[in-house]
Amino acid sequence: MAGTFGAVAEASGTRYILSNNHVLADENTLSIGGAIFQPGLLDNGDVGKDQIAKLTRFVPVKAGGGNTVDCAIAEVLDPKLVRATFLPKVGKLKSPEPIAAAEGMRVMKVGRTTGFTTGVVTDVSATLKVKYDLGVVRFDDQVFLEGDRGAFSDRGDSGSLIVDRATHRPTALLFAGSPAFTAGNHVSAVLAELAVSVVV
Amino acid sequence: MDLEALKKRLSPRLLDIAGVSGVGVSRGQLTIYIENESDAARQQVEQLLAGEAPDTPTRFVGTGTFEAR
Repeated sequence: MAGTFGAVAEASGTRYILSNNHVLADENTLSIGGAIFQPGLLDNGDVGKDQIAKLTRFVPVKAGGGNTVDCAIAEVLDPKLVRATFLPKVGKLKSPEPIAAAEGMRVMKVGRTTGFTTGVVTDVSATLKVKYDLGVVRFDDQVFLEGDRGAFSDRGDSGSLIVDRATHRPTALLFAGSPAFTAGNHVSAVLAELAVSVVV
Repeated sequence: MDLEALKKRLSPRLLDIAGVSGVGVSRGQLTIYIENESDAARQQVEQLLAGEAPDTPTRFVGTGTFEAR
C-alpha cells in the first residue's frame, strides 16, 4: 500500500510515524512489529535498506460500522531518520495541540501523490460509507473537505496531516476521498485513540 | 431543529439506501451525499424524510464513491 507519512508523533519519549491503519497496517493485516518502509515498496523502496520503522499499534477498521478513525503508529528505528518539522510548504506547526475543524476553515496538506494542496472544510460531522479491500466501511463524525483548485487529494495521500492555515495547528488526518471530496478523521480523536501527541 | 440529532437518528436508514454515500450537516441544512444524480436514491431519501422529519432543510450533494486513499 502506498501512502503518506503524515507526522511524527511521540509518547513517553519514543517517536513514531503517524499515518492510517490502511497505510501502515494494510487494513488490520500486518503484524505488530512488521516493517515499514520509506519510500514504500510500491515506490521502489528497497527491503534491504529502506526500513525506517516497525508497526506499533493500530485501531482496527471494522467492516460495517462503528468506526471513527483509521489510524496507526510505527516506532521509528532511528530518530535521526525523521524530522518532525519537515512539512514542505506547510512549514512548521505552531503547536502540537489540535484545533477543532470548523465549517469554512481554510486548510492545507502535503501528500505523497498530489503534494501541497489547499482547501476548505465543508462538514465536520459527516457519516459516510468508504470502500476498502475488506468491504464497505461506515465512519461517523468525519471532516469533509473540498480543494481550492481541483482535488484536495488522490490515492496515496492517505495519512496526510491536514493543517489549519490560520493557526498552523493540526485538525484532521486524511484517509479517504471521492472525485469531489476528501474525508479526514478529527485528529484529536486519532491522537486520543493512539495515546500520542504530534511533535513540532 | 437539532439537525445533528436528526442526522444521528436517521443516518443508519439513509445510508442503507443504495446510492447514498454519506449524511452530514452543512450550511445549516441536513446534507445528503449521493454517489451520482440518481433520481431513485433522491426519491427514497425524500420519502423517508417526509415520513420522519417533514420540513427539514435538506440539500443533496453529489460526491462519487468514497474509497480509502
